[in-house]
Amino acid sequence: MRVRVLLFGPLAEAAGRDAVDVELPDGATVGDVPGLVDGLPEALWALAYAVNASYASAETALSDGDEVALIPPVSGG
Amino acid sequence: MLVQITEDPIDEAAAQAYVASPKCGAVLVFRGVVRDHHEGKSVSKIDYHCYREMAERELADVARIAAAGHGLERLAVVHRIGEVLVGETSLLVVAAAPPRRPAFEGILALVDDLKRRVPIWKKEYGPDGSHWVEGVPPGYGARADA
Repeated sequence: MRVRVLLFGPLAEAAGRDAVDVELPDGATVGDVPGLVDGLPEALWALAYAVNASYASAETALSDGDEVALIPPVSGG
Repeated sequence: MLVQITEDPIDEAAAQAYVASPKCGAVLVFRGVVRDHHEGKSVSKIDYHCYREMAERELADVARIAAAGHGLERLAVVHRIGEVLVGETSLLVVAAAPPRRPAFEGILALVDDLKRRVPIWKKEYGPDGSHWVEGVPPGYGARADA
């Protein structure tokens, strides 16, 4: 299956882009995603995830066409 | 409830007009303003980055929980994104309640929750360059139905 990975903030800057498509085997979960994104410094790996714009956990199962966001520590407000 | 994320200067008059209610004896305005220093560094502007679709959803949830949990009769929350200069407002919260205590406590709870959950990131710019402000690991697990 294919999912679109969205990067934000310092993560996007370090990786040099804000989105990338990745191929995953059936049964893959959110936690499998960061390792498949080139140029993602491990020190900046997301501490949180979202699937289709809602918070999710590393154990959340993925489907073809999902949008996975890697969410570094937030600093709004 | 008025909940908005905007790239334009915040229209405070519109937010106050929205919140006005004859039932409410207390109307409180909180303005989060870009300040000229932070953690020892001089700041000239902040650039707010945002996962727009999710931030709108999370901000609405933050507002709903604060309003329901504290008895806010009327509420407006507007977060500005993009470049915001020193002295300009990046976050506006206007809350109204019949007595004053819920308005104070509701706004404080709302801003605390927003800073833990809403996917917005700020990059500070100053004379020595720019850097991402250290953020808070999102506390999405703390979300509760009010």
